[in-house]
Amino acid sequence: MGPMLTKGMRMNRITIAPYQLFCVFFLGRALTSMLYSPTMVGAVNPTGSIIGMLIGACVQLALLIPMFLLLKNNDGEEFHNILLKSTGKSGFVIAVLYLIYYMMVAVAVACEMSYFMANFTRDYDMIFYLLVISGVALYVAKYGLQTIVRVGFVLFIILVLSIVVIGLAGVSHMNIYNLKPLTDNCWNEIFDGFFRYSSANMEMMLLPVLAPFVKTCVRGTRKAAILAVGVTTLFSTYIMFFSATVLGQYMEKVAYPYFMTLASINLFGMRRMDVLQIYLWLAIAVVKVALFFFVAVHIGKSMAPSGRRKPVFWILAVVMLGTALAIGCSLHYFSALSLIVRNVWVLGFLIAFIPAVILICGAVKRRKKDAQ
Amino acid sequence: MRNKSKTTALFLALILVLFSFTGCAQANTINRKAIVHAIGLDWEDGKYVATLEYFTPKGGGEQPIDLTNSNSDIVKGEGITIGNAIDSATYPEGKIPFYAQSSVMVIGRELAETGMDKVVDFINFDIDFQVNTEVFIADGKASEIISGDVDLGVLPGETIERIHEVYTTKGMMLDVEYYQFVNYFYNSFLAAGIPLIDASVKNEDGQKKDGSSSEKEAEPQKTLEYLGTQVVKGKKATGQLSLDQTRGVLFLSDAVDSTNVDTVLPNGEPLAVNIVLSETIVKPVYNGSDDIIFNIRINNVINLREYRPQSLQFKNKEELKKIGDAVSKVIRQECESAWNALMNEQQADILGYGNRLRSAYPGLTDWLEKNWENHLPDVKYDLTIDNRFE
Repeated sequence: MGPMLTKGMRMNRITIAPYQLFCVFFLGRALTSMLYSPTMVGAVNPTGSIIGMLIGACVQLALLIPMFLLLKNNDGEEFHNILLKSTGKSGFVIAVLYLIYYMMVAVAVACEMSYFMANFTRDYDMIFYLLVISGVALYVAKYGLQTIVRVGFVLFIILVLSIVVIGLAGVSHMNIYNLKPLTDNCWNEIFDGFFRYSSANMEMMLLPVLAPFVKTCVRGTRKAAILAVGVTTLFSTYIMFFSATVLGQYMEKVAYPYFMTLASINLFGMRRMDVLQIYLWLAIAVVKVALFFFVAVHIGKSMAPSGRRKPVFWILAVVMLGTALAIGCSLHYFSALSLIVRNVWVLGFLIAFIPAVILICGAVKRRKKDAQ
Repeated sequence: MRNKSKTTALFLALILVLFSFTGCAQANTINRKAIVHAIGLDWEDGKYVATLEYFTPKGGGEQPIDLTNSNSDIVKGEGITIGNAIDSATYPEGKIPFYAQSSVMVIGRELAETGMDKVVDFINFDIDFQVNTEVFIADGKASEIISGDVDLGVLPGETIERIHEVYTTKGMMLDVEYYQFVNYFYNSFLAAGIPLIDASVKNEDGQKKDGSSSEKEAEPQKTLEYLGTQVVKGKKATGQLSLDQTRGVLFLSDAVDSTNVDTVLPNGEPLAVNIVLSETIVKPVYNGSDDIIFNIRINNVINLREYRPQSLQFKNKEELKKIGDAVSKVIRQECESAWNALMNEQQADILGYGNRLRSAYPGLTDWLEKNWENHLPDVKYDLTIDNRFE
């Protein structure tokens, strides 16, 4: 087990602002929504999906309560230290679980984006994009969290501006009657939407590790997280609504509906909005991969003994790159990885169950101590 | 030492970035691409025939583009699949088709009647294809439309697009882009309407040389003619609508922004008005499968365009009412004709009224998918036209 980092060590730590945390959370979740593919995850009823998303947002916030309480009780503490303090040696195992999940997310995002780019540019194959995304993400992650969030903030501004422009362009192409209403099977459709939305909220997993970096600690982290859940939900519902009203039935047949919607609309004669967006999405994917990789490295370093922390970055980099190349070559493995990464039960386990267990363990220990 | 490793890393990253520049890797020069403007697809003798019009400027550098000649080439190829037909059209020219600028797609009648699902299947898998390409159906062959014989200026594809823009702006032609067509195509209870065009022959006098009359027969010149709307139902072209019926469809589906209405008053005076703003409100009422009625209200804002006023006190209420009634009569005739043709004769809902009914009564979704087409002749409508003068 690695040494415990004390609160005093925070004085020298790099800090980020809550709004920067919000920006990177938004970017990560927005990318997932924009890359929604009915051919890969199955078609959904858009109306059911929208209602499911709104319910999912409320459930998501409820599931974050144990996490918020955990962070509040251990304000400024490193996640690794919290695990060790509360659960003893099993804390090491739990930390490893989180590390593996972060690495899996980084690989999954790199593979998904590479697949998308290879299919829509056709200039290079998937391996090329895997190397580019992974390479650039590793480079950005090497420079640290501040670099990641600063780049993320710039991309956030560009994305917001582009959403406004696209929204203006798309208004005249939207037809409300294209939106399929709920059918007799409405509850299944709503649950489907709820599960798909909830299973894609991977960003909340970063909270326990990133919280100590946030300037105003728990308060700022909590605000950023709640705002991120709210805004990304609204954005996801907007994308679904926008795509469904423009494409109608065609939405169920295309690989990437939102991308196809961009290709369909024009603003004052300006076409090919899809081409303008494609490289922005690539940059966002790089930031997302960099963020998850950075967090994985941070946990890895905190578990390693001092004096042996330097190679952690390179070891995990090789693992990530190797795994991404291996999985990227096979859609079969990619589907399996996606099944784990985008799994509402896995997310619920890591976001809500484990923090709740840690809180209970911590409370039990305190009671025993008070009893003594 | 730290600065040195940073510099090294930056240098390596820059080199990596250079590999993404096309000059360092596979170059796609523009003259190797066939920048396709218009695509024509036909079905002849059991094979697909593809006609492509792509941009080839006749001039460049110091030499200006020759505006008297067409600046495009038209190539034709055939094959057992659409992709094969397109490849056989462009590869002998040493070019790779580039669809990012394609604005027009014309489908020949025979292909449209055989089945448009192959066209949709091809386009859905070809990511280069522009999904906001305007779709047309040719009354004969698409290759006759996209042809050097048709007088369409220096860039025929662009000219067709501009003609289409004028007609649609003036509320005379359906505006159907590919993604809109596919939406109706995949909808199990709706049909699609696509503009129907043809290349018609126009005889002109032969050019006179040196003052003497030419004895040579005049070469017939073709022009593009707009015929109305082709109905595509069940993935195949079925019936047609005339120009008047097409405008009726546009009114009924709230697709008219502005249009001109020309008629003759009962007293024989010609009348032309410009409808500057038109809005159609449709409210479906469902009282059982045998009692479906659509309450349709068309609100127009009208400007007089050509009219001789009967009284000195122009724009008196009585006179305006007569004008309004005359305009309403024309619109009502067009709407009724379109309704009869679509709902009673062809049983094809290109108006999208099934979708409106579904939105108002979501519980009818399953019923609509199974029964809408058969129930169309029983569906009733109540049309009200309200005109306001500007």
